[in-house]
Amino acid sequence: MQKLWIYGAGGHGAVVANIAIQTNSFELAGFWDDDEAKKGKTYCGYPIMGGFENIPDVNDKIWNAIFIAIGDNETRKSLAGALTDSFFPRIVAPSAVIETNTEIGDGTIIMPGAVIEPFAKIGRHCIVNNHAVIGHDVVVEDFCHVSGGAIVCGQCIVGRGTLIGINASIIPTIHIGRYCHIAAGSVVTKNCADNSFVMGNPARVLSHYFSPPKYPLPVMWHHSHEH
Amino acid sequence: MHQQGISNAFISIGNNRIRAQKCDLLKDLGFTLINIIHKRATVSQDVALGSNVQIAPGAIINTGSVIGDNVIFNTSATADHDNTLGNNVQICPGVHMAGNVKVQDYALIGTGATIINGVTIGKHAVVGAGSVILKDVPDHAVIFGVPGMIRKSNTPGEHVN
Repeated sequence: MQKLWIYGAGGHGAVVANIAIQTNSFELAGFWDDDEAKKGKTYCGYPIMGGFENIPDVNDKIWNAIFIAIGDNETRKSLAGALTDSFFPRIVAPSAVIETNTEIGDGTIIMPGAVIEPFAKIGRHCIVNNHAVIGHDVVVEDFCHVSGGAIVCGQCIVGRGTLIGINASIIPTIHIGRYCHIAAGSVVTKNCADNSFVMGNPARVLSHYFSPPKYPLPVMWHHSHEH
Repeated sequence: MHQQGISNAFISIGNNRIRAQKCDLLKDLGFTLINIIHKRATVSQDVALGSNVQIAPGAIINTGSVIGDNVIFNTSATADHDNTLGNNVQICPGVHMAGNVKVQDYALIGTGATIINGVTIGKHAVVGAGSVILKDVPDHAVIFGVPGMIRKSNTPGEHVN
């Protein structure tokens, strides 16, 4: 049993905690959260230890693994860059189907009912939500979120930091750029450039945007490694 | 039947109103209404379930959700964290609901519909098949399309299902 900390005591954190317990390979130690009001309280029956600044105090071989359970791709990426010395486990729900020859990066969670087809590659710190399907030979780069019921068909490439909305469908061989937002229920039939916001059936590009981080970043976060 | 020693019952009627009526009837007769959850469904341990709840294969209900009485949660439908489903609700196959969605009493969510996070579906509302719901839906509304638009109203006495 591996000791596991979860960063983010919100709804997504609770889901991650639940799946981690279901796998029977983790022993949940508690949560971290930047919200000062949550510090010292419990969440799902586990203690909330405090925010980002407090992690180094406890980062003394007491804890083995930390999972960043933050839904926002940008924030998750910043945290992953900042927590350089940490070990990020990957969590796969027992009811998910992972076919052979797949690669799943560290810090990624595969939720119940998801299907990862052969030769699919999923990067680090991704979320593959309930019932999402990642087709054969698909490449999902780091920090992506494939929402519930979304279907990414064979040979697609999903750029890093992209959010694929709930129940969206991507037809085969499509290339989606980095930091895109595919709106809920969209059907994507054409390649998307970086930073595009696409919506509808068939999906159209509505705007190009760059989503700024939602929270002010501590100084050390600016060193987060960028490829 | 109850006098013959059969004390558990389950009502499997699709229509929300009729199912509610029959449930009240059987409860008055002294039956205990049970829940039927398929073994291939994934329901988090802390999900609060009412009575006479049907959860079909492949369905997923994540942590923090609350399911009312007489709910049909059909094949491969998913509810993410902290969803609240009222009484006599029907979730059709392949529906995907994101986090913090509220579905109030007697609402019907059609096959393959998608509901983004934080949306509230009003009482007696009907969401058409394949719709994508981005905003709150008032009580008695009939909404469908991508994105979902309110097309007509479903008045209380009317038979819609």
